Amino acid sequence: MRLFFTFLLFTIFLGCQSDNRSNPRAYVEGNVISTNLELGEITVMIKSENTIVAETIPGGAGNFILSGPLFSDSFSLVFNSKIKSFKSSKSGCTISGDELELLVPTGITYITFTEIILE
Amino acid sequence: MRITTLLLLCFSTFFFGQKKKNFLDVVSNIETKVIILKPLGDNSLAKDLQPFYGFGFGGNLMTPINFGIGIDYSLLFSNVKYDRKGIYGNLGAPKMTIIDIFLTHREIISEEFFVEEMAGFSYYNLSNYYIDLKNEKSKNAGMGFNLGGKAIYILDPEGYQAVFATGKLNYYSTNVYNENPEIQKYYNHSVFLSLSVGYRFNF
Repeated sequence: MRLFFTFLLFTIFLGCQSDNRSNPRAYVEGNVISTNLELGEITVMIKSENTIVAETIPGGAGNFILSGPLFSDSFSLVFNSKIKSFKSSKSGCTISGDELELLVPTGITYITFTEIILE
Repeated sequence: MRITTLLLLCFSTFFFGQKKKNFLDVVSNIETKVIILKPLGDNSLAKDLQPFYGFGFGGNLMTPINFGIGIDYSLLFSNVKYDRKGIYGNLGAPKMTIIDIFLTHREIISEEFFVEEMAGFSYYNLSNYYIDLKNEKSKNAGMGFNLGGKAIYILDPEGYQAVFATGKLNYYSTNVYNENPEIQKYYNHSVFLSLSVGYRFNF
């Protein structure tokens, strides 16, 4: 009887698990250079639904790898200095109105920015 | 009529008699333990986090034929490695809850020394605090299986109290999505090696 109840509890426990959809995660690699800022002063962040989900300071050559969980299907790459120009592995990315963000279009979760030039 | 009576007699002997005897002999125990768990391989939990430390509770039911079932509940805590923060995300205080449900087989080595092997299914819940949001957690549920072995040493002559050491391997898989299959694989699965020591009470 005790055996039976244990299995019953297990069944209930499995049945109550919600069938949640996949957790999207962004993964961004890139190289950043700035005309004004020293390398150690640049920060690169991933923003999703107004939340910073990943943050780093690029390495010695300006290279960075960033990854973070996403709240929705699109995200943006945020810098602490205005963006002059960029080159990316996938097309469709745009610079935001305040020039501090690189907007990555919906559906892209893996992208490489071969060159980002900041002011 | 006589055949029916005989059949009924056989039926009751085989089913009820047997059952009653077996069920009286099922023994149970509860456990408490401390755990160290290290994720292995080339994956996010292994590379980006420090080993997990924690504690757990469990219980087993054991039949006279030395097969039984058991359940383990473990609560484990870790930290993000400082230089891996960019890759793990802006997350802190990783906490993992593991529920293992398994079949066990007991080998009686001597009066006071047993070995038990375990195999079963596991449910995982990994939660992290968002550093940028107050009191909000990211949650990842995972499923997998477990394999393990346990050495048990009986402390008293009545056989009530025991201490044990467990080694366990857990396979973990979750539902993180990324376009790049390599990246998805990095965040999606892991293998955990855990060691624990604890105290068991038989009743």
